[in-house]
Amino acid sequence: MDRREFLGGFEQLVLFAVLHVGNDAYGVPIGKAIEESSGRSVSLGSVYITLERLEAKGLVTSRQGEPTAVRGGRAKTYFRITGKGIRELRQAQRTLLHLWRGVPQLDGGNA
Amino acid sequence: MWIAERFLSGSGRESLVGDLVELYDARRSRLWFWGQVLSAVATATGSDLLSHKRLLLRALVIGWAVYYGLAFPITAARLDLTSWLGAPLARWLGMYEGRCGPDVVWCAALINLVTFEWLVFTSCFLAGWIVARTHGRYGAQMALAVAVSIGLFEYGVVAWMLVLRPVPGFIPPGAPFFLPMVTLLGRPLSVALGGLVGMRPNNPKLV
Repeated sequence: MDRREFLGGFEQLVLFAVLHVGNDAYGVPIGKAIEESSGRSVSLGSVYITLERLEAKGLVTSRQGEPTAVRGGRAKTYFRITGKGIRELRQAQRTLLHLWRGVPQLDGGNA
Repeated sequence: MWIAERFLSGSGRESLVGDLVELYDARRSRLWFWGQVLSAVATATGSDLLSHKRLLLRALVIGWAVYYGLAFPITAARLDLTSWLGAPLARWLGMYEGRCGPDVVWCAALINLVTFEWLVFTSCFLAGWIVARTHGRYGAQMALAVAVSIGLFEYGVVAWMLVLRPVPGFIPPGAPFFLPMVTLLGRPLSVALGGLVGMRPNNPKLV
């Protein structure tokens, strides 16, 4: 049996958001993308801590942008998903779909 | 933003502070923005503390040594301090306000604060300041951890004294039972303030 760590629910959301936002993926648009798709308010601090964890796992990489006056002279940190990150997302999707199939309560939208 | 800068810049999260500035300019609502700042500080501090457990242990030992070494002797001398300094103060206040004695709640609380509690608050401030000075860029986070531990300890002791071992005269006559809780809040707050003042942002020393 493979002993890899599972991706957490919020980790998956953040990875999807990084992919969804694309080249301009830094904290604010990533948080906004999660809020828009989930309909829930998201803490920017949680997004950052999750991104740091994902980077430590090698699922995203980061690079510093240029400091801007609008942000009080602070640079943005841009994130990009790695090949390993995409593989992990695919694996998570396969696992969910496999579990989803054949569960009658999840068909037809009646909880 | 001052709080966010003190807690987040030191641990290399300049970008998060920049993002918060961007959110502030977006002006969704002041309450929502403050929720974002406090949540970012809490999350980042929790993450830093968990990933630097040895530093946390050292901060707790230093913080408690300073707190114990300074605040406990002051607490032991409480009655002497209150009687030496409290009586002239009560007389002085009585001249202007008509009446001031141990049975007048506001007066008893003020005498307690002026003669004794401020010395304890100063000790707490020093404990936070020393912890921040000796823990490099994680100084503010470590001081906050010491503040929380002191707060939990003191509230535990007071709850124990109120519920299990009531001490006569612990609460001034006529004062609400939660008065000691309010007074005690000053201790962890003073430690945290000492930490914020004493921290050295962007100093990688010791870390």
